[in-house]
Amino acid sequence: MKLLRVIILLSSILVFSGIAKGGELSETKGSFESMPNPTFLGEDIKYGLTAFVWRYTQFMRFRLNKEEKTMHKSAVFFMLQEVPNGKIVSWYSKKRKANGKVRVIESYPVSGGYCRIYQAYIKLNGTERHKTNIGCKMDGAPTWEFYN
Amino acid sequence: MRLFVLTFALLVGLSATAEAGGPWSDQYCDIELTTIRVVDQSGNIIEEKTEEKVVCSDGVKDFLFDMGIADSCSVFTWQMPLGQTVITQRDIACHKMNGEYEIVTGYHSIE
Repeated sequence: MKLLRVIILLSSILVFSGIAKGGELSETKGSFESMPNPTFLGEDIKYGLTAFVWRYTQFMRFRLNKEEKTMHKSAVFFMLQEVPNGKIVSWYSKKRKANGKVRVIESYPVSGGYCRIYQAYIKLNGTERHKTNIGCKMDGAPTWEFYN
Repeated sequence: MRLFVLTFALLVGLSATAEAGGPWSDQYCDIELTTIRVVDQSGNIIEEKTEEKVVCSDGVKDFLFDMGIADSCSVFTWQMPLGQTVITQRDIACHKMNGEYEIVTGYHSIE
């Protein structure tokens, strides 16, 4: 009888510790809930060339006004420069239903610099789109270069 | 006598640990310097003086924190390539209470 009690006690400790471990948040978990799941890029792309400066493709075919475009650009550059993996940087328009969010998914060193894979999301009048991109900052370069 | 010494020590201790309100342990003040030059018509400097003014923004920061909006806001700059040149842009980002960041609308400028 005593042995049975000990077994029950030990097994319940194991079960509860398993549940507690499952509930722990990793670096990016939690933040992902408020954005759609990102599309993960392949390893060949990850270490490929980032040849573009900022391009209009980053607005994901949305017709944003000048202020919205500036805020989205600003959010991307602020995220790349200052924000740890998984933390969301958002912007909102005061004039119409437009908002955007960006977050870094992964950061890694490359030869002569470092790169960050990020997800960008824009919602305008109920239509939402998101894309995954890579930004790299090379040593001595004045600004970031992008995969797309 | 002992009570008097104790009261005095307590008063000194309390007055020495006065802090700004809200979550801030230090006051958010800055000294702004303004140089005033009085120049005559031929460009000679007649008088030059510098004025110091202490500007504190604790009120705004306490408000943001107390309202649950943000625990800090800061100016940041970023480089935007335009043709062959790079232009430095300036914006304000706030670290919100939920851990996310937000770009503040209407505060964009170019250096």
